[in-house]
Amino acid sequence: MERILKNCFPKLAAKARLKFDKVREKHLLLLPEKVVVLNETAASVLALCDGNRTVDTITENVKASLQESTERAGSVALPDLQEMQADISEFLQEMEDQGWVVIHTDGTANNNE
Amino acid sequence: MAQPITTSKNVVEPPYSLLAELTHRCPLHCPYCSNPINMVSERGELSNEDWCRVLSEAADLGVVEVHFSGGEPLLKDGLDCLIRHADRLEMYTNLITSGIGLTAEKAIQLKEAGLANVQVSFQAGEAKLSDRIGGYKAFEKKKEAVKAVKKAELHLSLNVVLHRMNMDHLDEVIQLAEEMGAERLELANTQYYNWALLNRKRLLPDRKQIERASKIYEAAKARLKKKMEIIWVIPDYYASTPKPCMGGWGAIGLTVAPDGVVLPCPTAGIIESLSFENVRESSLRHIWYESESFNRFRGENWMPEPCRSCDFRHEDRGGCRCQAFALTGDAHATDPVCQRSPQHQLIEKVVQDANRKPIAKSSPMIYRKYLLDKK
Repeated sequence: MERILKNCFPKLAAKARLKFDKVREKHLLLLPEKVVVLNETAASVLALCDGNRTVDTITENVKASLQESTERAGSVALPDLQEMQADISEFLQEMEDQGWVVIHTDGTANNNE
Repeated sequence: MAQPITTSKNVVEPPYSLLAELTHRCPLHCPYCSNPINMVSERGELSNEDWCRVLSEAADLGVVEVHFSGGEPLLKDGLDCLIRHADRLEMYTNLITSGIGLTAEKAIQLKEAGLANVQVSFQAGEAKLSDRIGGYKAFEKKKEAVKAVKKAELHLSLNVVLHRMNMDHLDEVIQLAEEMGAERLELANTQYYNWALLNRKRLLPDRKQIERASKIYEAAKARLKKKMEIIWVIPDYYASTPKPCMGGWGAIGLTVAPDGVVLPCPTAGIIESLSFENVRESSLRHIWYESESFNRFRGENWMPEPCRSCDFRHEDRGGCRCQAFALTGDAHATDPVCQRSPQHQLIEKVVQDANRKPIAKSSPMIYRKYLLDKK
């Protein structure tokens, strides 16, 4: 089982850029020599990776916006917070392994970049 | 009128990337250069106004990454304006450069214009060999350029084309990349088109060189994991299956040559049996979706046997059309690199020669020359 990130501050790598592509109507992650097509959730998580939010905060943000959209759609199935936190942690560690996200354990470290 | 468009999915998707070859002018004379033998003169180059239009059309078409290349793109006046224009169009910008002319001020200026990544070429890991291969005293200047890139806090990739002359010095190349703080290193085995094809006898390594080099690459990749991404571009003459053509002919990206000719890949201009359209006369959208040249090798209907009934056709797409044309004279032929190609002996013969000791040095190395304006 992957470790659950709590008080970590993920930040999109400097080389990476997020873009909503109007032509394809898809969220993209742009990298040197690579384009990654993202799903809605991945894009919403990465958009919050600014180095100033903890994984906890990001999870709460994502949950809140999901709640809003599911309420609008009238559906009920929404994963609980802990499950979401585990999913988001796992996703961010994958992103870190790829070198697309940098994860600081201390919020002050990223301010020097 | 244009033929109905058919690909394997029967739909042509928008392109992701644009290779903008701003000029063929270049201070280096690398004998493996993939630029055409007959280069575009400075007078024949597109203006920056043309390029801005091309960038806007590309963005509308769905292009999200632009690679500014050449020749040496820094020789194009107004490069910073083009980068700024692409950045405003929310395209990811990459500069592919020899590093010559990339001062600290220039690097900062380009970063401010929106440049995201710089790829600097090296010919080898040390000055003497590097300068001999490039035919120009470039090595120290390149190191200065790399320092400028790092100082401007731009993402740095190094690219080294591998061949017989530098293959045995891969350790030094990797060490150089580490010392310079490269975040990505591309080890690109020479692809034999244009100048490289002219010099193939002198450039094609032997099997043992490839085996040693690929072990060094594997070890470095495992050791450097997160620190530096290392890419190994396969030496296709030593592979049993051909490389897929740029992810498919007219599938992922397009190239605009210095004179505005639009190509499915940087070397497609060698295919004499096709005529390619120009951005001076047609829109990029028309060329991408409607042109005869871009539709010719889309999908699988064009394939001859043995490709047509081969299980690998979805993966390798029949191989490289440029290589098929360059080696057999027929752009529709199966890539001779493939073991199933009826013309595979063309490759076997060259590989045999490269592995015979000692190698005949009867053919001189022909260095890339940029011809000044032809009257």
